[in-house]
Amino acid sequence: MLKRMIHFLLLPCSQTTLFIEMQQSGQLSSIQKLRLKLHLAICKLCKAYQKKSIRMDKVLRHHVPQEHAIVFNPIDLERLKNKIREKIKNN
Amino acid sequence: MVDHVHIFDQWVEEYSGALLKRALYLLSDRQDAEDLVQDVFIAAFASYPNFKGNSAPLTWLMHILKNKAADFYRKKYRNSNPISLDYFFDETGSWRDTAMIRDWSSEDLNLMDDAEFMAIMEHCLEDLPPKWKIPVKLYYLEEKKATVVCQEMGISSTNLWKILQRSRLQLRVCLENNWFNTQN
Repeated sequence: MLKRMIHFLLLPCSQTTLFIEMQQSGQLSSIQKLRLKLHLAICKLCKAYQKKSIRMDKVLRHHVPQEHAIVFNPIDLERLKNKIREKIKNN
Repeated sequence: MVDHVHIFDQWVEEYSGALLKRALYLLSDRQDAEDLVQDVFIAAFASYPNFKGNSAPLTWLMHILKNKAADFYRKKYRNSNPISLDYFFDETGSWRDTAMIRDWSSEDLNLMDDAEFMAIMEHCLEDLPPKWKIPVKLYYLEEKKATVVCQEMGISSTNLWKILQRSRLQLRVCLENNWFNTQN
């Protein structure tokens, strides 16, 4: 019951997950940091989520800039190039 | 003017592939991506006098591409519904599902080298609705510079955090369903 009260008064889990997001981008104010810390100290679910969130962030940081190996059909690409050339000419 | 056309002829030849890749990655739709690349070259051609040559041509074209992608996003999703968290949290803001507690196995290092896992991550990312995944992808392309992303996309920072939050909640479920809970 006390736990529920604290959750509700201090910071609900729905808001905590938002703070976790901001924290990973270094965007929390000191008051927000404190509220997050207190919530995480008593909430196992959010603590577990934070761990997972950090790992997802790490993987995405590693993955996204590399772009996956999309391979285009050379004929399609040539068709696009010619279309662009046409458009530039008529511009 | 003749030079100008000649240069663009070369640029189209050299950079179309890379630009289309990036466009397809951001928009996840072949037709939209091709249209975007055409728009990029037309815009670049028109503002060529502003290109000082301080940056490499591809860098400049990529920059235009990001702006065009943001335009596309704004036009398409400006009036979309607010983000709801009801699926994950009850009316008091507490988790609905306590399955969260189950730890994920294996080290990050192994995961990132695991082609199968990365394919699932990609699938989960692509599975997000476009109005979320475009900002999420841009956020990581811009190395998590939130202010840059907000500026480019024309969204508020509050909105960006909510999109990231909602997307990550969903990614977690997708990864558990397709990977972590299927491993022994």
